[in-house]
Amino acid sequence: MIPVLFIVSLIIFVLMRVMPIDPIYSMIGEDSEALTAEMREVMIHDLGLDRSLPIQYLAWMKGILTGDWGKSFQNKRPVAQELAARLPHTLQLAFAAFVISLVLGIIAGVVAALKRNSVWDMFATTGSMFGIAVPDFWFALVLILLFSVTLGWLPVFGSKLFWEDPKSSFIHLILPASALGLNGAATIMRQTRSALLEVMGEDYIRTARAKGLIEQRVVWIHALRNSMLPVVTILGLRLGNILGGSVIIETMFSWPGVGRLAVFALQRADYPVIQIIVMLSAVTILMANLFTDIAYAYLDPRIRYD
Amino acid sequence: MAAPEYQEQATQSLRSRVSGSLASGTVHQLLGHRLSVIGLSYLGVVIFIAVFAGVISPGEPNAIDPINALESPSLSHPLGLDHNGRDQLTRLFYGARISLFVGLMSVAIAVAVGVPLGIVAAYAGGWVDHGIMRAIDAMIAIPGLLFAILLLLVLRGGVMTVSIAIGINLFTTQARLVRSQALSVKEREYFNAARAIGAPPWRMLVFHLTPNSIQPVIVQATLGMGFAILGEASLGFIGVGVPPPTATWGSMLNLAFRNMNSAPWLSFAPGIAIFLLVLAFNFVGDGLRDALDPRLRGKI
Repeated sequence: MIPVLFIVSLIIFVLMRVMPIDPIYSMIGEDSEALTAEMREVMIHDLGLDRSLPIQYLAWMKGILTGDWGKSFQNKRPVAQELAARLPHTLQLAFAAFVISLVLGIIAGVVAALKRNSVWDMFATTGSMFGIAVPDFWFALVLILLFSVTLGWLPVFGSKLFWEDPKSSFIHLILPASALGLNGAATIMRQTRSALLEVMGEDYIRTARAKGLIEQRVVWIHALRNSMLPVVTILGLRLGNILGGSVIIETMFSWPGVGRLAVFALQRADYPVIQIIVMLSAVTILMANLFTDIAYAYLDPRIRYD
Repeated sequence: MAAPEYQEQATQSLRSRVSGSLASGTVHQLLGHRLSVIGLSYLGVVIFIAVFAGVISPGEPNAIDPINALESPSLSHPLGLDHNGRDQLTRLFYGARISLFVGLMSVAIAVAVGVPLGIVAAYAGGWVDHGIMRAIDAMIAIPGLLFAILLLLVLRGGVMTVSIAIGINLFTTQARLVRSQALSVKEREYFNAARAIGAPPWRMLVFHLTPNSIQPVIVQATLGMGFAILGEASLGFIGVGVPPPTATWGSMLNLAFRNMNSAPWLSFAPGIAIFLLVLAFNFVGDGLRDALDPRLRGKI
C-alpha cells in the first residue's frame, strides 16, 4: 500500500504543478490586474511556492505525516477543517446511495434469479440494463424535472445533516441518493442474479433441500451467502469510490460535500486541498480493496491469504 | 523447398485457417444473439447519422437565432432551440460524431497502452511486473473523474485531449486483464515448447503471448466504448470537456440543466441518445462475450 500511495502522491503533485492555472491569479480573481509584482512575490513566498519542487514535495509529505495538511489557497482555512465540515455531507449521501444500491440490487437480483424467465425477471433485467447504461446526471436531471420542477414535491438544492434535522435531511437526500444509487443497484442486481443462478444448481443446495430445509432458508442463508462474492467486489468498488464518485451529483444538487469542493479546488489550482482529497481517496480505495479481500475469506472459507 | 520453410508455411496456413474459423464462428454467434443484432443495428444508424450529419441535418450546428431562443419543439425545429437559438436536432446529429470519435479513440488509446504493458509485465515478471502493476494500482487509486478533469486542465485542448484523458482511465483495466491472461498462457505447453526450441523473446511476445492473450480485450474494448461515451458526456456536463461551441451531448445536457425551468424539453433527447448508444455497445459487448466464452451464455 505504501509504494502505491507514494506513486499517487508523485502523480498528483507533479500534475498540479504542470497545470497551466496560476494559483495566485485564481486567489485574486477578477482583481488580478491590480496585483503588483511585489505583492505577487510576497504571496508566492507566503504559500511556499518559491521553493524548489523537491523541497515543496518533501514539506508536503512531512505535513501529511505530522497531521499538518496545510491551508486552502482560496479561503485560508486549514484543509483538515474544510474537509471535516464537508465530509459528513458526502458520507451521508454515499451511505444513502449505498443502501439504495444494496437493498434494491439484492432484492431484485434474488427475485429475478428465483423467478427466472418470468415477468419479474424481465422487469428486473430490463431495469438493470437501463441502470447500467443511463448517465447518473441525466437520471438526476429527469428526477429534478419530475419531482421538483413539475410536481414541486422535493427540494433540488442543499443538504442537512441527519443528526441536525432528520426530516429535512431525508427529504434532501431522496433525489441525489436515488440518482447516485441507481447504477450500483443495477450492477448488483445483475451480479446477484447470475451468481445465484449458478449457485442454485450446486449439489449442496440439493442437499439442503433434501434434508428438509424451508425454501427461504435455502435461498437466503445457503445460496445467497455463497453467491455474494461478485457482489462484494462491486460493493468494494463502490465503497472505495465514496469520495470521488459523487462529484457530478454533488455539483448538480449544490451539495456541500467533498466532491464539489474537489472540482472547485481543481479549477482554481488550490494545491493543498486537491492533493489531500486525492490522497484520502486513494487511501479509501486501497482500504476498500483490503476489506473486499477480507470479506472474500469470510464468505468463502476456502479462500486463504498467506 | 527446404523443410523449415515448408514447416513455416504450413504453420502460417494452419494459423490463418484457425483464426479465420474463429472469427467467422464469433460473427455467426454474434448474429444469433438477438440483443447484439439490435445493438449492431442501432450502432449502424448512429454511425450513418454521424457520417452524414452535414447532409441530413436541418441546419448548421453553431448557427444562432437569439430572437427565437428556447423555442419549444415545432415542425421546423422538432427538438426545439437552445438558449442561443441553436437547433437541437442538428446539434444532436453532430454530437453523435464527438461521442463515437471519443469512444473509439479512447478505447484505441487504452488498448494501445494497456495491452503492451500487460504483456510485458506478465512476460518479464520480477521487478518489471511489480513496477508496472504498482503504477497501475496507483492510477486506479485516483478517482477516475477527478483524474480526467485534472488531465484536461493540464493538457487543455479538444476532442483528442478528452479521448486521452478517458483512455488513460481505461487502460488500467486492459493491462490487468491482458496480464492475467498472459500469465496463464505462459504456463501452457505450446508456450514452453516455443521457448524450448529457442524462439527469441520478441517472437515469444509477438507471435505466442500477444495473440493468445488478447481475446478478453475485444469484449472489454466494446464495453469500454460505453464507459468512454458516458465519461465524455460527464466531462461535457461539468463543462470541462470538448470546448464550446462544438456540439456534444454532455454539453447539451449542461445547457438543458441550466434552462430546466424555462425549457424542460431540452433535457430529453441528448440523455436518451447517450443512454441508447451506451446500451447498444453493452448489448454488442455481451454478445461478443457469449460468443467468445460460451460457458457464460445467458448467465450474466
